[in-house]
This record gives sequence, C-alpha cells and structure tokens, in this order.
Amino acid sequence: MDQLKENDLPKGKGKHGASVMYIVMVGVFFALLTVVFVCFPRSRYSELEKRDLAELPDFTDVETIKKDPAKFTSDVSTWFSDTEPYRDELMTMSMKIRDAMKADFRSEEETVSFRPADTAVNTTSEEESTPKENVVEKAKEKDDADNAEALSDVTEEEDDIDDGKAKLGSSGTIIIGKGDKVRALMAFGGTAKGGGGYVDLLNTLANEFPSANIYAMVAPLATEYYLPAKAAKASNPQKPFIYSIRDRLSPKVKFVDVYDELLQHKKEDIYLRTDHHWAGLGGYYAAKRLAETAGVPFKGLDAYEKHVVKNFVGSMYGYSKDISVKKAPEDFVYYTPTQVAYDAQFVSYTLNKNFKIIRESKPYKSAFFKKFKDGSGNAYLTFIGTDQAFVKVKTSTPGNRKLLIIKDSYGNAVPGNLFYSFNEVHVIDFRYFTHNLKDYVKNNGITDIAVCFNVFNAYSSGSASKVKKMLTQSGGIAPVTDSETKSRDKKQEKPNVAENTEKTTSGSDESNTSNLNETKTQVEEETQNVATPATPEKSEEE
Amino acid sequence: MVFSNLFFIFCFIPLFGILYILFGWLDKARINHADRREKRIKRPMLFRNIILTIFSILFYAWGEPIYVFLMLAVVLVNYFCGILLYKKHNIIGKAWLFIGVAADLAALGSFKYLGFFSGIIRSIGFDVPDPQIALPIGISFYIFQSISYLVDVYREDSKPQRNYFDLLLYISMFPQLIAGPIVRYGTVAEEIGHRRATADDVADGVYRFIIGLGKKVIIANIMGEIATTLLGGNLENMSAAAAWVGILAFSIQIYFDFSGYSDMAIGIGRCVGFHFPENFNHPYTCTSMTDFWRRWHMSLGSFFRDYVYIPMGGNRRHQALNIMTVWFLTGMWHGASWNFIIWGVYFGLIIMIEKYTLLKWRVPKIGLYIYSIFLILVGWGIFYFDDFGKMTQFFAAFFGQNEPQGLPMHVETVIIDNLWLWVAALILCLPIRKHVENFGYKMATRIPYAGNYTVQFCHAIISITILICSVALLVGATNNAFIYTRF
Repeated sequence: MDQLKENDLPKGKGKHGASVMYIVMVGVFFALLTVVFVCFPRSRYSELEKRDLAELPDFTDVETIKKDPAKFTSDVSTWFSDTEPYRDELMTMSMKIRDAMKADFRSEEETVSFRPADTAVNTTSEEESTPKENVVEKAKEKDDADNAEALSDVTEEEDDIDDGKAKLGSSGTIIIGKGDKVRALMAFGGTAKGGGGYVDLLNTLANEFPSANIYAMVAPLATEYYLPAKAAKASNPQKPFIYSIRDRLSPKVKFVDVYDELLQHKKEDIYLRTDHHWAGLGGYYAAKRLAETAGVPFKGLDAYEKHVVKNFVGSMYGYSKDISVKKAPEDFVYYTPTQVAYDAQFVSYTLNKNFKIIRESKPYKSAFFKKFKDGSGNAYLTFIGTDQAFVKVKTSTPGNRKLLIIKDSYGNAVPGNLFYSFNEVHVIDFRYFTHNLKDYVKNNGITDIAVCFNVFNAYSSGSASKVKKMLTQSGGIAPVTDSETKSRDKKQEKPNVAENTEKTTSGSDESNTSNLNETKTQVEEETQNVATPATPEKSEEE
Repeated sequence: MVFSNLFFIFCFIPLFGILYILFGWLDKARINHADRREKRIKRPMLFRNIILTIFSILFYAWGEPIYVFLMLAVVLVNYFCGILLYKKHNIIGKAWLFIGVAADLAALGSFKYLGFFSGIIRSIGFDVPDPQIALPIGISFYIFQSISYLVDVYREDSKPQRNYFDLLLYISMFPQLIAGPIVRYGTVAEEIGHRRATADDVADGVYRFIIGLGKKVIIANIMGEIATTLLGGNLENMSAAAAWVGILAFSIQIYFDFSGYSDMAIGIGRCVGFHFPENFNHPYTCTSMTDFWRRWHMSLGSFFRDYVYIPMGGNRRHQALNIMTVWFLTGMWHGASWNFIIWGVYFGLIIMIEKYTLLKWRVPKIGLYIYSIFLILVGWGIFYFDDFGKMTQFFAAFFGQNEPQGLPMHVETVIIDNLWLWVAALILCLPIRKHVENFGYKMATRIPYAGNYTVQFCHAIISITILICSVALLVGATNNAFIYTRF
C-alpha cells in the first residue's frame, strides 16, 4: 500500500544483514508450510463439514480435458485447496480467528419473548383424537423431573431458555443463546402459498389408494419454537404454511398435527441444538400424534430404553461456521422399544458421484438402531443408519395394520416409535426408491401411508414430484457409465457400513448431512425454492 | 489463477522461485564464463527471463487456456507495429500506430464490449444475436499496456523491443498481468534486459506481498461477505442502516481487495528486480474527488491523463469535453455495463464542478473529508449495482426514503461480530501504518545494526502471523476472486 520510497531513505547500518535475517525467517517458515501443504497426506473427508472433499481430476482423460481445459485447471486448483492436510484443524482455526474479531458486550440481562404466533396455536384440528394414555406424565417420570414443571407453563409468553443473544450465522443460520445453551437454527423463507406439490401428492395418494389411510405429516423446524422475537425477521413463520397445507388437503387425507404436538413439548429436548434435525424425542412426539390420528395403540417412554451419545455436535456447526456451536456439545438421546420384538430388513442403494442410484442390494437383515460412540457427529444416523435404503420392519405387534412412511431425513426419527402400533412398518426415502409404489403397497398389504417431510421438503414441489414419480416408475435402475460409478463404489459396496464406525457412516450419508455449500445435498434440496433471507436459491439436484 | 489461492501460494510460487534461482545461477555462470574471455554478454537475464515468461504464460493459461492465444497474438501485432512505426514521422508512422492501436482496441471491443453493444442494438429494435463471449481475464489491463507501448515508441520515449519474447514478457508478466498496476513500457524497459534484486529488494518484496495477501484474505474477503449479506439479497424496503453499513463494507472491500492485489504484484515484481509503479495512496483520506482520483488506481488515471486527456488538449482547449471523455472512458473501462458508464460520468461531472468551485474555495479540512467520503460512498453505490431496479431501491434506503427501522439485527450482527476487523480496516485506511513504518526506518538509520534488525524482526513476525491467518482463512473460502480481475 501506498508505499514508502525506501530507496530515497538512507539505509542505516546493518540493513543487508537484517534483510537476510528476514528472508531466512519468513523463508524457512514458508518452506515448512509448503512441505506440509504439498507433501503431507491430503484430507479426503471433512468431519466438520460432513462431506467428501474434492477429488483430483483424471489426468489421463485427455478427451474431457480437451473439451473444457479451463474446467480441468480450475478442478485441480479446487482439489488442491479443498483437500489440504489438516483441513478441519485449519477451518477450526479460521473460525477461531473470526471469533476473535467479535466484540462481546451485548447485554446479557435482555430477555427474550417468543413470538405470540407460537403460543396462539389452533388446536382444533379435526383429526385429533383423544389421547389414549398420558404419555407426557410417563415421559416426565422416566426422564428428568425438570421437564415436568416446564410442561405446565408451556403456553407462557416469556421464556428464559435463552439469554437474549441472537445473531445470524452463515448459510441462513441463526445462532441463539450463549455458552453451553447455544442453539443453531435454520431460517425458513417460505410463505403460506407454497407446498402445492405436497398437497397434490397427498391428494393423489388418497385417490390411488382408496382403501388405505393417508396421513400428512409436516415437521416444523426448531426455528419456529425457539426463535427470539428480536430475530423474528430472520425467518418466516412456519405455522401459516403448515396449516395452509392442512386446509388444502382433501378430506380423505388425515392431517397429523405435529406442529401442535411439538408446541406442547417445546420445553423438552425435542430438537437438537447443534443439528438441523429434531431429536429422538421430537420424532417420538410426532409418532405419538400419528398413532393417535391413526387410532392405533402407542406406548409411553417407560416402554423404551433410553440411550445417550454424549458430546454430540451436529451439522449446524459446519453450516453456521460458528465456533460457539462447537463449544456447546449436547447429549444425543434416543429411545429403543423394549417390550416388542422387531426385525428390520434393509434394501440399500449404491450411488455414484452424482447421487444417482446405480445398484440395489439384495434384502438383508440389520439393526434398525445403530450405535454411535460418544462424540460422534453423525449420531442422527442412529435411526436406520442411512437415507439410501428402504426398510421393512416386522414387529410382534398383533393386528393387520401395516404402515408405510415416505420420509426425508426428519422422518428417520419417527418409525422407531411405532413398533408397538403397527404389525409392519415400512420406511421409504423420497429420494431413493426405484420400485413402483403401487406394486409395493399392494404386495406388502400396506394399510396406512404417511408422508413425513420437514417444511423445506413439504414446500418444495420437487420433493413431492419425486414421490409422485414412484407411482408410475417401472422399478428398473437406469444404467450409468463406468467412469461415473468408480469413486462412490468402494464406499457403498457394503450396505451396512453405517454400523458403529463413524468414518464409513459419514461417507455413506453425504446426501443427508453434508455442507450447505455443496449443491448436491439434502439440505440444499430441502432449501431449494425456499429462498431463505441469507441463502441464495440453488439449482436443482439432477 | 489468482494470488490468494492456496494452489498459487504453495505450488506455483515455490516452483517458480526455485527454478528462477536455479536459472539465475545459470545466467551467472554464463556471465562469469564470458568475463573470463573478457567478453560482455548481451543478454545477462536470458534464462531468468525465459523462466519468467514460461511461468507467466502458464499462469494465464491456467485460468484462460484458450484466450492465452489471443494474448500471444496481440503481442505479435504490437511487436511488428512497434518496429514499423519507430522513428517514422510521416504518414507511414501514423498509419502503423493507427493500425496497432486499432487492432488493440478491436480485440478489447470484441471480447469485452460486443455483447454490450449488441444488447443496445437489440434494445432499439434490430435483431442481432448475442455473441456470448466470456471476458478474457485481464484483457483490459494488457491491452492498455500494449497501447502504452505503441504510443511511447511512437513518441520516442522508448525504443521498440526488437525481441518478441521480451515484449511478451513485458505484456504477460504474471504479477501484473490480470489486475494491474498498468505498467508503462518505459518504466520497465530497462529492467527487462538488466535488473538486479538485492536482499533488501527481496525482503521488501516478500513483506509487501504478504501485506497484500493479508489485506485481501483477512479484510477484503470478510468485508465482501458482509457487503453481500447486506446488499446482495432482496433490497425491497431495506433499512437505511443496512444500506450505509453495506456500502461502507463494500468500500472497504474494494479498496483492500484492489490495493492488496497491487501490493502483491509490486511485491513479486520487487523479488525479481522489477519496480512497478504505485497504484494507491490512501485514497480514502482524499479532500476532493479530484484528489481521490490522484490516489485511487493511479496507474489508470495517469494512463488516461497521458494518452487521452493531454493529447486531446488538456486544459488548453475544450477542457470540459476532455474531462468528460476521460471519465466516460474510465467508467467504460471498468465494464460493459451502463452503471459503470454512469459511475464514470458521475465522477467526471463532480470533478468538473470542483474545478470551478471547491478547489478555489477555502473550506475547512474536516468538511472536505466528509464531502469526499459521502461522494465516494454514493459512487460505490452506483458501481455495485448493475441492476437499476436494485440500485434505485438501494438509494431509496441510503437517502432515508424507507421507514426508519433503527438498527436491524442482521446489521447489528455484521458490525458486532466483526467489530475489531472494522476498527482495524478503518485505521488501515488512514496513513497510520505509513507513519509507524517511517518512524521505524528513521530509527533504523539512527541506531546502527540494532535499528535495522529490530525493524526486520518485527516485519518477520508480522509476516508469519499474517501468513498463518491468511492460510487458515483461505481454507474453506468459497468466493475468493479479486474484484478487479473482472475488468
């Protein structure tokens, strides 16, 4: 900058020696850095961003290089800067540097009032049936007593869960709270007008399967329950959207009021603070409302065993790129049914680099709940272990009610709570299913079909149209070229790599939890068409 | 390839550095060999220039593998025209000058402005296709360097370059190739053939490069994020606070981005013995727009002054026309879009008015600073938005036309979450660093040895710190391109 004219200045004694000293100091340091960056083994997977890093483009593929040399060279640069050694450590450091630039003098006494919209919920939904047992009471006994008191004043306006801090993180995230109470939220950009595709899908399913019960389940984001009033502008309310879906459904479709159910339990740990998903308990309450709506039995949490994965830091750390999220690990809690026998049969898919299905496995048995070690960032995969599979769970529950859940990743946390309720529970991911849905329903004698999406996927017509396609698709897997398949194959070879080993699990579930910046991710897909205030619209996956 | 890219820093630079040093030894061996035979060697820099040229071509081809041939062709045309027009004061010399400059401008016009012009023609009702040409990186810079070469040779300020590869080296030299400074041929003509880089040069060059890297990665990139957060989305009914803070962030971004690039270019040049012209002199401390343009992108301003303004008559005849032409062209140079042209004309008008008013009055300095900063911010507002709808929405908010909203949370977040960066950036806009360093140099001259060693030790610590921070911040950086490489 704005350079001094060194040459005009007298140099003073020792200038040459001092310059040499400078060159040696900086030169040695730079040389060390260069050796690290060039010679050390390169990173291949980012635990922090939960994604595979870029791969070195194929030097031998001369034809492709000739076609677009600029893309080739930029791919090489991308590969180099994406896979640097110690990537996650360096990113953590960069977040610490960013953190050091903050000034922390915002008032701590400031209290937060939740938006009135949260509490004034309309609970007169017609599908609501009388609760069969007081699940809440039992949950309280089983869990901790603190929550019980919270339940009674759940409709209170003022809330002291957070201390009033709220700020915007990157990728459309909002960080609230402080210290170990930090909670990262996702912004919702939709309005009551969206979701036409979802409504249409449910109405179509009701027509296609007149003898089956069809349920619409829309999961709100945590933002709806925890966004402080001062940050209200950062995200649109989800309630008008969710209830506008209810109002547009044909009478043949049953609306499961997940919104209301969760609202009653918002003081419990129904959402993960550091992940974009809800917690096992959120899925439990959603399942409870589904069971009530369906008129099937449902057991309290005393019929479940509680498991805890400690020190869980979920996907929101990578999305928000905010170190305070990492500093606030939480318990990942899930419940497994103890008084029912069940048997899960998986069929999993192999994907190529472009997230296209290239192979389907033979049915195999595997655990429905996977066990993760403490500190694992992928613990949400406890449920089912992957999105790239469909699962059929046979339970010892008598009767002939057979449930099919078509879901996104939010839906993963629901079916594990329904083994007391249905004789069979089938789970299909809306992105990965190659069979004909009509045949599948007929052949398996499905009596109940629920479409469980979070608000993003319920909003996006693309997600609904993928399910609609299942009604007509023939079941074949489109052939793909070898070069496309190469890299993904190794990871997807064994269908059940998810179990117990973090590293491989993460690899097999990119599309579920990977970074917001990657185009081909679940969250991207979820957010498309729902331009959130800080997230520009992204292009469609395929 | 851009400078603030890990591939450039950890692959290109080390490889270039090692080969340049090795080939330097070869050059020395040649010179020693000639000395022993008591001969003088004609091209003492031959091997080093070969390496520099090869790496420059690689550097350019890495980003523009196809348009690199356009650059080679432009150099070839200028090479012949330069030789043919030298010392010909008749019509033939003029003709070759005209052909050369016309060829340069034709290249610039067709690759940079064709789409813009075809759009204008389409908008008045003629059906012409959109040529769909992607702008070759750096074309605005190297075309201007080519023109300066031809004109300087025509005016006999410089001799024509008789060696194609040396001319290629001048045009393509990678430090200044894609975003300036616009180096005049005369400035480096001598240094192409004969130059030396002492330890002092290398130390200063490295330090300069690292300062530039820090400006870009630590300040400009983060300020750019802030500007995008506040100005990038839906601007309907935006708050005045968002407009002001947003455009302030962009003003800081563009200054540190561009001056950081210039620092890096000048720094690399110093390391290999070139002395490129300065491009910035604390522009945000200016006292008028006239003053601003003597401090901002100085190499472009002096280009227009010497090759357009003065030849047109300067202040002796139709000065107003000359000023407006220069500023129209300055705006146009920045991009094929109306907002840049308006931006240029905006400054042209202000500078003309200043000539008859402000520069003749006595105004307290503080008033001049406020006046200048305000006009600069408005200027960047025009510059930022190439969409007129958004520009209108922005200025509505900027001038308080929207309902007052206090300090919205997202504005508060970007200020408080980056408070120390804002403070540091604003301080670095002032010439404080220059004063501190001047003080250091003064000490160095007064205290033998210890003075210089202390200064360089501090430099080393600063350099290593900036290097660590920059590398960490570059990891996971998604949007890292320099603004001025678009022009």
